[in-house]
Amino acid sequence: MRLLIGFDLLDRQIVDRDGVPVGKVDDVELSEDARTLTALLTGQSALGGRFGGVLGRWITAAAGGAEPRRIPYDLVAKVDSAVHLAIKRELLAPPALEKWLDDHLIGRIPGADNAES
Amino acid sequence: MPRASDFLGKRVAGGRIVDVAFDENQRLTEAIVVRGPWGRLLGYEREQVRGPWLIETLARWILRRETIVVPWDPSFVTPDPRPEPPTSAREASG
Amino acid sequence: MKRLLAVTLGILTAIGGFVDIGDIVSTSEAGARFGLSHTWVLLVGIVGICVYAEMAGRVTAVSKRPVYDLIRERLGPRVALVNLLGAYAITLLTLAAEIGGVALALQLLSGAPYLLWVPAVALVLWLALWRVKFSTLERIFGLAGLSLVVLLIATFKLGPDFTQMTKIAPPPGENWPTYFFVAIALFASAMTPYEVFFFTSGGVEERWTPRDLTLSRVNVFLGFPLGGLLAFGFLATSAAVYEPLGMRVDTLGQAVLPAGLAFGQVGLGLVILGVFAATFGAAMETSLSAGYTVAQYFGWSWGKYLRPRQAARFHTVVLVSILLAVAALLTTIDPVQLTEYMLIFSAIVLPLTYLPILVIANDRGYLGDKVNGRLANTLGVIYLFVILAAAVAAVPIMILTGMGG
Repeated sequence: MRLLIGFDLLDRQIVDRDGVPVGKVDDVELSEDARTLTALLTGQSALGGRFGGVLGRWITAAAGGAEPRRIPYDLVAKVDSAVHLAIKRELLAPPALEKWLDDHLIGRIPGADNAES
Repeated sequence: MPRASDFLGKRVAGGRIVDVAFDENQRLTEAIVVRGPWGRLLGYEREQVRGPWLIETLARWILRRETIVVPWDPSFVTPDPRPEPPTSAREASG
Repeated sequence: MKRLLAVTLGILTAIGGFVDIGDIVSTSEAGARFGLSHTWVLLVGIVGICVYAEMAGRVTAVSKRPVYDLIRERLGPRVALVNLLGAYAITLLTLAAEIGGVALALQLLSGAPYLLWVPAVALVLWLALWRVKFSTLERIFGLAGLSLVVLLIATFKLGPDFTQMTKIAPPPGENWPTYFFVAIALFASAMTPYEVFFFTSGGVEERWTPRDLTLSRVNVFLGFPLGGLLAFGFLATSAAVYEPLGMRVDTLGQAVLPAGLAFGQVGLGLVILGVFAATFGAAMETSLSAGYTVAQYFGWSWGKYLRPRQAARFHTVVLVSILLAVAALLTTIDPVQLTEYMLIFSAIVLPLTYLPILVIANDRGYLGDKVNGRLANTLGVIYLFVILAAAVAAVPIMILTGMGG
């Protein structure tokens, strides 16, 4: 099936096999020879790169300047109103900001491990 | 590695690249190039969005574009030959 | 009973939109100054939010995506960022106002100054969001807010001038610009954007599927008219008591007094309980919405259905928003006045929220055969023009009238 990078991928929500949000498609990566699509990039620094300028640098800085996460396109199972991955999100490296906030703030509050139901 | 942001919005012969298609083997096949300032507008550039009549007509009128589809060329990702805007100079002065 | 409980999401969402603290005071003020001559605005607002909440709920049930998730996709990251900043500002201002409002309701009950209550209210709010299940919160505050129904009974006892309901004009002694300013403010708060963000995110929290389309519609068509009716209760009781006296209403105490005049202690107690539930409910709605919008713009994991550690960024935004709201209140700014500034941001955010919803509701790629029918599209387009007209007029008329003064 023919898909469009701009319309079908960019700015679309990525979810894991259980539907849990992983990130937005903030940019996509091509192979070195620029002939094939290799990976999705997600993270504020990738988004900041698309904005460019001062605003782009702010957005990148807000994430602590961490490199975007790279999700090989082979992991994509289906593209509809979201980009569905074939794996659980735990198999990917956690986003740097999420991990930092979990380690230093949210994870330290009692009850942070309680599931709702 | 080249990224989508390197070629989207880039000027090529015939207009600006607004989107690029790829096949099931993830090979980039063609670039959609339009003349004029608006490339994408709320999804009305696709067939699946129909209506409401008034908004659709308005959007298509704003788009008014001549779309051409050109085969993908890896050189689309190389930077514009035009000189880069002097960002460092602007920062120094402002 | 189970069926009744299934519609509390709609009720809570609508209460947060129609009878949050700013609305309680400004709607009562409208009644005191203009009698029932703004009733048509409430009607226009109820129909408008029903049209768009139905579309948004349908998009969410079918695509399983909350609407804010789709806004960036349609508007692109730049325009969506403008929407995000405006929507966040509205949500945060309202959140601060609601925390202040709960504190004011406690002041009415206890006599202790509201500023002392602010930190306690904020702490309880955060604890509730941290520990209590989404559906439990929704039920407690949605149902308790219904005690405001006492206002509707009080309306008939107090008997305002019902003939004004059909008039679209300011009563003698009031001018048109102020009349319009109040109309725009009432309309904007009926259609306030965090309602659809909260409603559809709540739908995802409750794991709606295409089979829940009817459930979503029942929530919309029961919840929002009910919320509007409660707002009418404040308008009408205030019109009955204060308009003949030529009095102004600018405090919560004045807004709840007519119920006391109608039914004594019991009436007053019920209405204060209702105000407490409505403002606390609105505080939950806005603090969660602050987290929902930011998380959904950036694509972060969000929601109460995950363990907090799995959505650390979302919970941080909620926590920081509550702290910012407390900080704003501790400057001793009047919480009721805070929501008046909302109108400036609404002018930007309302069109940028409802246009993409209308467009997505017509996208067969997402909705298949569940796309908008002719009625939804006709009303959607008409309301888009009403929203645009209100947005264009809002700021000039705000300056012209000195914020309705």
